[in-house]
Amino acid sequence: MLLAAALLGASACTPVTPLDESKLPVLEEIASQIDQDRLMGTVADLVAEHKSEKPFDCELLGPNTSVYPELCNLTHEKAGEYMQRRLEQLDLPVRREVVAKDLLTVSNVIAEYKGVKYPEEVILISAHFDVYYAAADDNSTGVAAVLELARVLSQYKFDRTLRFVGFDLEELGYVGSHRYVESLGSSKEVVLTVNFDSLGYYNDTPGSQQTSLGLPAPSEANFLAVIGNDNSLERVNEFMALNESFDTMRTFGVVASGLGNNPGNAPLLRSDHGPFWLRGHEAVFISDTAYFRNPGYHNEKDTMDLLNPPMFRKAVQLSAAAIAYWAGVQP
Amino acid sequence: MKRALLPVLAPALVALGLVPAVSRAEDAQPAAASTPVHQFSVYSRGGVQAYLAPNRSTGLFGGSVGVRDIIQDRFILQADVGYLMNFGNVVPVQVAAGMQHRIGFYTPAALATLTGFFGERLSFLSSDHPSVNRIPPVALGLLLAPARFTVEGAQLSILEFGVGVSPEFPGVGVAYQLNLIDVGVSF
Ligand SMILES: [Zn+2]
Repeated sequence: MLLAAALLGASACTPVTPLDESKLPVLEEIASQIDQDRLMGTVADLVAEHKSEKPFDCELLGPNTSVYPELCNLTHEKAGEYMQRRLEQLDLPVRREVVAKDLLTVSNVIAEYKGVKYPEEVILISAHFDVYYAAADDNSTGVAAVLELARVLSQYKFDRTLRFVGFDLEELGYVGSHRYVESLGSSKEVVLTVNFDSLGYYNDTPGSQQTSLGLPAPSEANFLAVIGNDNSLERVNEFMALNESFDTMRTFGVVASGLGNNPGNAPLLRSDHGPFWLRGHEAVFISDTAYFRNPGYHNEKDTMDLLNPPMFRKAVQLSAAAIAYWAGVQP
Repeated sequence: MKRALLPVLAPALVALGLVPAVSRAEDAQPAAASTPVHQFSVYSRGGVQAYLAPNRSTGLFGGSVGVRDIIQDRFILQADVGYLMNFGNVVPVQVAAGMQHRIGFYTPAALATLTGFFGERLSFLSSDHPSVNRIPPVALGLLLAPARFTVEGAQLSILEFGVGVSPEFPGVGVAYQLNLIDVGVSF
């Protein structure tokens, strides 16, 4: 019987998830509107905002600061204000969700674009706006992606509501997203979270992608990772299938087992989708894999010159198509 | 050198309660006439067991319990089931057949193994493997027990090494096994 199972394995890699092909033309049109200059302009603005801010008072964090010097180089307030301003310019209702608890106060940025058919079902599109040093990749690229997606997607109509969220204090342990998920309680309104963290670093050199035991990946750091858990497996499949339809860029899917809380999954939990996974929500994490490739990860070398603008645009284009598909874009 | 281990090993087995304290090395020398055709034992092992392929990873730390039959003091048939964790919660099922070679207490063994990994896993999707393979991997492999000792039907083996392969179409996955300890008691 075991042998039969092994032989069955031969045919177990079934074709990619079938897509609703009638949606593909409008998805392609949406993706084409993602603008590279706007994306990079936003990253430049965010880097400037971070550079002009006095870093977070790391004395609050105790003795760890000598081991982790980046803790004394965290900025977030001006980037949060910038994100709020940009979303307001799109005429979207924007609010700040402020939660003061223990030593840390977080102020998440939340904007909403109502769905027309199932407005009570929300697709949450997020990135953290707090960074170490004036980090271009981690995570000004993620915030720029959310803002560009808000600009483009708000020109269309969707069945479901789109909620654009900037999470605060991710770097200190997913504090903003954790408190946000707590505030949802047992509500099932957020049907999917799409979280962006580091989207702009790519390298074609063989060996440029780091891996770890049990976490293989292509050798060249030139792919976009889409990461889900068992709950969001179908979304990962659809993301891969959309990429196959549009042939946008090399994409690598990772699906963590269960909720994603097994020890071997730990590197996959390291952004704001984590609290959503652990509470049983569907969430996908879209990333260039950050510390598995970027030499500027959490240090002063995370600068704009390390970014690859055309690849960054492709990552956002593919994400735009996927989000529009999941939200039920109207023709 | 191997026989030099015996004075160390015999007290260890006694301490583990696997042989009576009165047992002496000389007593354990097999007598062909008194060796039963089938000698059944239950065994338990612990260590590392993982299956790593380009499209999935599963297992890692844990242990198994099983039943072993040693036939004519030479051939080994065994089957076990266990629990592994790290890349998900996994139930490994292994059946194995092989041989032991007896030099007094010292009974090194080699076994052919068939190992299935049932349960959770990490999956990786690429153009080669565009969707999750839900069929559990079953690896055909070899397990070596170079430091295995038998005293009056009780077996103690340390540092067993195993490797196996399973097809993934395209590519193969490799099953790795490192048993830190395997203890069996006859019944
Ligand atoms: Zn980040």
